[in-house]
Amino acid sequence: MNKENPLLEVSNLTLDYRLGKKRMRALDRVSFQLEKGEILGVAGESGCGKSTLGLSIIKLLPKIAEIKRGEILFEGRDLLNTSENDMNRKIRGQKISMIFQNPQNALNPVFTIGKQMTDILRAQSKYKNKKMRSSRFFRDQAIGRLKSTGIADPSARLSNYPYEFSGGMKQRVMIGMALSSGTSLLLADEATTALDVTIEAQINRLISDLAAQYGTSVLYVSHNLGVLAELADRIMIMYAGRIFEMGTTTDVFDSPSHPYSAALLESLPSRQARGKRLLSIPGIVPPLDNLPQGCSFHPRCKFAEDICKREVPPLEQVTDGHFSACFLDNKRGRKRLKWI
Amino acid sequence: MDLIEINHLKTYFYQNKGFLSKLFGEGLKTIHAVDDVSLTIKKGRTFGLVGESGCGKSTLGQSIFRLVKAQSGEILFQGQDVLQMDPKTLMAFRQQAQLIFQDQYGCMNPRMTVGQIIAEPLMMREKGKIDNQSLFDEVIRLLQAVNLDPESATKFPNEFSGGQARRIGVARAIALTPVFIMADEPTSGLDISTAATILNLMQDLQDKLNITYLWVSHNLNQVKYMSDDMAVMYLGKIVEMGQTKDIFREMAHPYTKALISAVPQVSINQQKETIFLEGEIPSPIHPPSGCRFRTRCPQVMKRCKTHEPALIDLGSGHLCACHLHTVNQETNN
Amino acid sequence: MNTTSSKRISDQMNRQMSLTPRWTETLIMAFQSVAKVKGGLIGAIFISVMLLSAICAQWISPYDPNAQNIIQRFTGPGTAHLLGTDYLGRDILSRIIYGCRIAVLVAFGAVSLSSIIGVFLGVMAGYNEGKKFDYFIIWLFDIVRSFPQIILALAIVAVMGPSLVNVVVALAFTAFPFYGRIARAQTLSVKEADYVKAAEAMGQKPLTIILRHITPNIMAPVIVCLGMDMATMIIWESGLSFLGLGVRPPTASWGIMLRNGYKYIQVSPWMILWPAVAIALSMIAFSLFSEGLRVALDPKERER
Repeated sequence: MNKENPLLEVSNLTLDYRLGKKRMRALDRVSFQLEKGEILGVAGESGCGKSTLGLSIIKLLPKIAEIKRGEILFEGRDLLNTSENDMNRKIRGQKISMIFQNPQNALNPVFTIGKQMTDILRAQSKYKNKKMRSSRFFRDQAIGRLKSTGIADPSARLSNYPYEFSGGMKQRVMIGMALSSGTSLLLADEATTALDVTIEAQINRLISDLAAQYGTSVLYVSHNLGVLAELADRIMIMYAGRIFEMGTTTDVFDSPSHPYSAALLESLPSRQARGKRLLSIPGIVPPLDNLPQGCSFHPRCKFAEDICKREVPPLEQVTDGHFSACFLDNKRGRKRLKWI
Repeated sequence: MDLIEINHLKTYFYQNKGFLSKLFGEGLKTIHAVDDVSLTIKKGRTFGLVGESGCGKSTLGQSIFRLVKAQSGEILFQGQDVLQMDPKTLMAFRQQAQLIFQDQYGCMNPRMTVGQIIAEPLMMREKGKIDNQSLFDEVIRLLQAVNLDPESATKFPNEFSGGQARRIGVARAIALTPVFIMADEPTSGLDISTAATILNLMQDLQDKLNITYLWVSHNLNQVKYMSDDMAVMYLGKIVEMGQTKDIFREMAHPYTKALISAVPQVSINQQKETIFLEGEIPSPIHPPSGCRFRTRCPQVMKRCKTHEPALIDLGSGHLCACHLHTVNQETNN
Repeated sequence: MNTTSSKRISDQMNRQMSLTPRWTETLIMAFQSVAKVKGGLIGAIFISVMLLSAICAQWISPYDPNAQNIIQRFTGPGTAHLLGTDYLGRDILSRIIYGCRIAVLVAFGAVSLSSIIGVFLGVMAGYNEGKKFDYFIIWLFDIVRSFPQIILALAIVAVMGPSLVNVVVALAFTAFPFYGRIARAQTLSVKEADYVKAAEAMGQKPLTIILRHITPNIMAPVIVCLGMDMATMIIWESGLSFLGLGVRPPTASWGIMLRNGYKYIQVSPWMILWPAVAIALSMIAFSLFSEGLRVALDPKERER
C-alpha cells in the first residue's frame, strides 16, 4: 500500500434502511481505501449496496437510511461529522462530484443549459472572490467546461435547452459540471447504463481522460463487468451489503478468488461458446431484512461447508493487494474455481 | 428452410399529420424507421438483430406482427404474406408467432393473476371449450417448464422479481407452442446471473420445441452467444448480414467493426483497440444522403455522399452494404 | 406437488379464472384501503349510515312521513318529535330519513347510469382513436358539455315532466360526457401499454381486449370521480325539487323540505335547518370518501 495517506478511507461502514418495522442492512462493515488518481470499480447485482455506498460518501442518502457505525475519511476529514452546510459549500460539486444513470433527470427542461451551468458554478464557494463574480466569467467557465467534454461549438450550445441534447450529450454536460481541476473524487453510478454501446465507449473514454488530466480518483459503480474491466484499476465485488472480493482488475477477473466472483464471470455469455450452457447461480439474492446466518452467500454456493453456515468470513488478503471474504481461500490455495 | 422472408419492408411514421400543422405549413415529417429491409429467417435457428437505439430493430420486429403498420413490402410467413392476411388468417398467424417484450412487467395486465395471464392464449384457442381442470393442468405444466412454482398461478405480476416476471412472459409465449418467437431485449434490466438463467431457458426451449427466434438486442455479446445468423442495422437499414460466426470473424462494415470493438470485454485477452465513433446517430427524419453511416464513418470516401451502397454478397451469404467492398468488387471484375 | 396443495391452487384459480374483470373484489379492496385514510373512514361511516337509513326507512323512522297532525304543527325539537314538525305537523326526522332514500336513489342511479354510458362511449372512442366514430363521440360530448349543466337538466325535466325517473335520466344525461372524457383519455394511454399489445399479438378479439385489458385499468380515476359526483347529484336533486321540477310532493325529499321550509323561516327555523344540515353532511361525507378513494387508489400516496 501507498505510504502517504489515501484520498478516501472508508472503514467499517455499516448502514441500515428502516422501512416501517423492517431493518435492512444495506452496508455491512465496508472498508476500503481509494488512492489518488485511481479508478475503483464497484460491481454487484441489484440490491448489493453498491449505489448506497456512493450515496453515503457524498451524503445524499434518503431519510430512511441510518449509519450505524464506521468512518469515511476524505482528505483526512471525517465526512460523517461534516455539517450539511459545509458539505454543500465546500465538498459537493467541488471536491466530490457525482454523476447518475439518467442525466435528463438532473437537468431542468425549462432553462437553458448555460443558465443551469452558471447557476451551479455561482453557488460554489471557490468562486467567492469578488473580481471573479461577473456573468462573463461564469459564462467563460461554462464554455470551458463544455469544451473539455468534447462538445462541438460550446458557446452556441449554451443557449440550447436540454431537449435539444441527446442522452450522451447530456451525460457530457453532467461530466463537464462534475469534473474540473479541483475535483479530487468522482462518483459515477451506472453513468453509461442508459446509453448505446458506441456512445458508452465515448463517455467512458471521456471519464478516464479527464480523470487522468485532473488527477481525479473515480469510484465507478456498474453492473456491467466488461465496462469495469476496461476502465478500472481495481475492482470491488459486493454482495448483500458486504465486500466479497477486492483487488486489481487482472487479479479479480482473471483469477477470481471468491466463488461469487467466479460465478458472475461464468454467467457472462461473452465467455461461453455458442450452444454451451451458461452458469445460473441457484437461488435468489436474499432479502436484506432476512439475511442468512454466516456467509450471506452460502445457500447458493456450490462450495459451501459447515463453517460457512455459522460464521461470517472476514475480508482477508489472499495475495498482495488481493482481498477475499471466503473460508475456502485459506485451504484451497490458488486453484481455479470452476462452477460448471 | 426459410420460415420468414421479408422483402423490401418499409415502415414509416409520420409527424405533424394534423390539420393545424398543415395550416401553419410545418410540413409532414417522415420518420424512416425501417427503410427497405430484406432478410430471411431460417426455421429452427436464431436470428440476431443488433443496432443502437433508434435504428429500427424493434420496429422491424413489431412490423412482422402488424403491431405497427408497414408502408410497403412483404413479409412471408411460411409462404403467406402477413401484410395481406385477412383477420381470420392473421389471428391464426398470431397464435403461431409470439412476442416476448422488453418490459417484463409492462407486458402483463396488472389486474390479472399469473394463472389468468398464462391461460388467456389457451382459452382463446379453445374458444371456451376447455374445462377448468385441463386448463389448470396446462398452466401448471407451463409454469414448471419455466422453472416457476405452481403457487405462482394465483399471484399477481407485481409480486415477482424481474427474472421471474420475465419467465412468466416466456411461459405465456410458449403456451400455444408457437413456431416463431420474437424476443425484444429479453434480458434488459436483469442482473448478470438472472440474465444467464433466461438465456439457458430460452435455449432449452428452442432445443425441445424447435422454435425459431428473432433475437432483438443491443448486446452484441449476447447475440454472438445466442444467434446463428445476424444482421446489423443502422438508421433503418441493414448494413451487414450473415452467419454470426462469419461476421465476428471478419467484420466487413466499418460500423460493425466499431460496434463490436466498443463492446466492453471482461477478459484481457478478448479486449481489443476500441474504434471510437465521433458524433451521434443522425435523425431518422432527415437521414444523410448516400450511405447513412457516412457522417460518422472513419473511412468515409467521396462517393459515400452521393451513392447509396447496395447490400452485396462477399461470399457464403455474408452481405455488406459499403462502398469499400463495392470498389473491391469492381476492381476484381 | 402433493394433491392437497394442487387442489387448493386449482380451486383458487377456478375462482379467478372467470375472466370477467374482478369488479367486486376491486370495490371491496378499494373500500378497505379507503378506510385506512383518516377522512375516508369518517366519510365511509356516514355513507353507510345514509345507505342504512335509505334501505330501512320504513322500520327506523318513528312516524309515517306523510301523516299530518295539524294540532302539533311547528313544534320544535322535543321528546315526541326529535327534530320537530313542519307546517302540516309531519315529523321532520321521518321525512329526513325518507328523503335520504330519494337522495341515495337519485345519486346512485344518476351516477351509475352516466358513468356506465360515459365509460362505454369513452373507451370505444379511445380505442378507435382517430376514426370517424371517435370524432363523432367527441363531438357529442362537447355539445352536451357546452350547455350549463343545471340548465340542461332543468330543460329535460321540464320537457319530460317531473318524476323520480326523469330526474335521474336528466342528471345522468348532463354528467355522462365527463366520464366519457376521462375514460377516453385514460384509454389512449392504456391502449399503448405492452400488455394490450401482447393481447393483440396473441390474436385476441378487440372486444375482449377492451373488456379484459383496458377497462379494468382505466377505472381508478373514474371511481374517484364517482364519489365526487354523488355529492353533486344530491345537490342537484335538491335543487330541482326546490324549484318544483324534482320528485312530486308529498314525497319526502330534502329539496321539497327546503322549499316548504323557507316560507316559514320566521315562524319555525327548524323546518329549513334540518334538511340543510342533511344535505351539507352528505356532501361532506362523499367529499371525504372520494378524497380517501383518490389517496387509496394512488400508488404513490399509498406508500407514505
